[in-house]
Amino acid sequence: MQNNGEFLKRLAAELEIWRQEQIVTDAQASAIRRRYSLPPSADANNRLAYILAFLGATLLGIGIIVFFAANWPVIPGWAKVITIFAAVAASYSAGFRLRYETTAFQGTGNALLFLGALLFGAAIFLIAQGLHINANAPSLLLLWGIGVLPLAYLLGSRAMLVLVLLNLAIALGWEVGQWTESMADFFAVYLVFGVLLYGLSLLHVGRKTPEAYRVPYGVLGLLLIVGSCFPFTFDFGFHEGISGKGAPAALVIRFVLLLGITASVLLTALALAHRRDSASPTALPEIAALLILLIIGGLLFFVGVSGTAVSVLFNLLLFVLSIGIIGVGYLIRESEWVNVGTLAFALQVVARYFDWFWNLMPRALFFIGAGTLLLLGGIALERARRRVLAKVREEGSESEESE
Amino acid sequence: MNIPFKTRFFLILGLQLALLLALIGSKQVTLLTGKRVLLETIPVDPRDLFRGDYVILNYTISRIDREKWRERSYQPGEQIYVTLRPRGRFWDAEQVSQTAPGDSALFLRGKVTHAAGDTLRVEYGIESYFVPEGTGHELERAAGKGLAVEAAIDRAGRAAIQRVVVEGQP
Repeated sequence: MQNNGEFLKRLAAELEIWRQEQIVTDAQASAIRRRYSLPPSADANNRLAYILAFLGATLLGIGIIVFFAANWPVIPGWAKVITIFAAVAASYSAGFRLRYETTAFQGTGNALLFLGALLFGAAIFLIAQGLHINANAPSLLLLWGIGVLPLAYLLGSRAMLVLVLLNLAIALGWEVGQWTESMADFFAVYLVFGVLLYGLSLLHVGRKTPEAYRVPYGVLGLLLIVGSCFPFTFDFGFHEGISGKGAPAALVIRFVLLLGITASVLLTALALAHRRDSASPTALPEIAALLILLIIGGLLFFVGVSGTAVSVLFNLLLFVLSIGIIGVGYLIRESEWVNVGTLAFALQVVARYFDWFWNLMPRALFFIGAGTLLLLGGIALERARRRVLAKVREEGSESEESE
Repeated sequence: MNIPFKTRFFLILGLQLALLLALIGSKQVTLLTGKRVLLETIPVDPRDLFRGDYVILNYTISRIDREKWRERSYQPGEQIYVTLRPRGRFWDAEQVSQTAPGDSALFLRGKVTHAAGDTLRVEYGIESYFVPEGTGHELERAAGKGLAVEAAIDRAGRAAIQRVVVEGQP
């Protein structure tokens, strides 16, 4: 045990050196710390400074975007372009220098690198403004995401990865919204996109690329899956008239392409789960569940939904999903999964209360009941969530002890 | 080949700047090489987004009647080619086709946004005109005074806005 303690102490010290010498990225260092239950790095203790720096970078980025968005006529077009190019290059360069070539201002360096990614997006929209490129062009968000993605991987930046994924998710919804008014089409596309993101999260398990990337892909994927299934759980005729049939050919082609890419990612995850010793213990049931959700997405799009049985089926599906997500979170020791599963469960309980009792109870009693349900349910769920999270941490440290 | 970390970082930064230049270049080529035409338009709904104030331009050629696309029906999302012909000061839609016209006719490449009854609604990528903050309503007021857009159209049918013209004046 004492040897183990010395090993952990030495590992923590070495890890800090590896991180500074860029032998491992920040995300990889965090994954190793979690694996061996090591205390957070000295940098992590400066979390408040990090958060303030990131907030500052975000506000500065928004300020610059809004400043240029005002289309100030006094500044000639070429001067605006040079200014924004210089701002992007300066922010990235200064961020790189502070983050990787000094030891004192690494948090500020990270924030400036993130600001560079925001300014890159601002530059795209500024250029589009100057050239009068259509305002409803989701391709601009796509361009922003594609430009930042390689940097997110090179620097191991989860903040940049989240920015990329949000851009892609918004661009997708924007694009779909241009071609269809059918809610079934809209939610089917987001359901399949959620499955794709979760599939990508499985590809990051046990790989040389940062395992910590599993979390942004996984959490956003789960939120999209839960969010797309949730509207179909209502029983007030929401889904009546929702039709997935008759989508324009342009949208059908894009959807089929999305289905194909998602199926390929799931098959790759399946092949890797068989080959890797380090694959997630829950990989196979996760892939099976994703395949079922993929089929549901396809049915929603090509067949549509009708009949009262739909809400019953989706209630069951969401219930099984929320329990499954909590279970997977417990087994893979990821607190974010437990949080998303708990949120999905709580949302469903509150929605069903409104569904079932709105017409049955006097209004005063209804609101008293709703308040009581929220208060007591909130306490019960929070206690259950804490219990599961405590077990997740306990299991984690026990398994490391035994190893 | 083991490329140093710093080099990889600056290569990606270079790639981002190249993407921005490509975005500028794609429209500048059209503006420099395209044929100048005047398109009749009505500005509607000044909007305020994060990107600034802009007016939505609704061209006469944004709405095409059935007589110009007899050969087949179209669906939203489909790419079409609209052949233009001069009509007085302005250029108007003459015919719609699924493929680019082979002769030397001037045409615009567009995307069908709505196809209902006997009318097609088409977008050409020149429907937003960005204006300095708070000046969108001035353009809307000029709608009855012969508002038009001078656009450049290249040989591939791509269009770019050169300027907005009110009563023949920029």
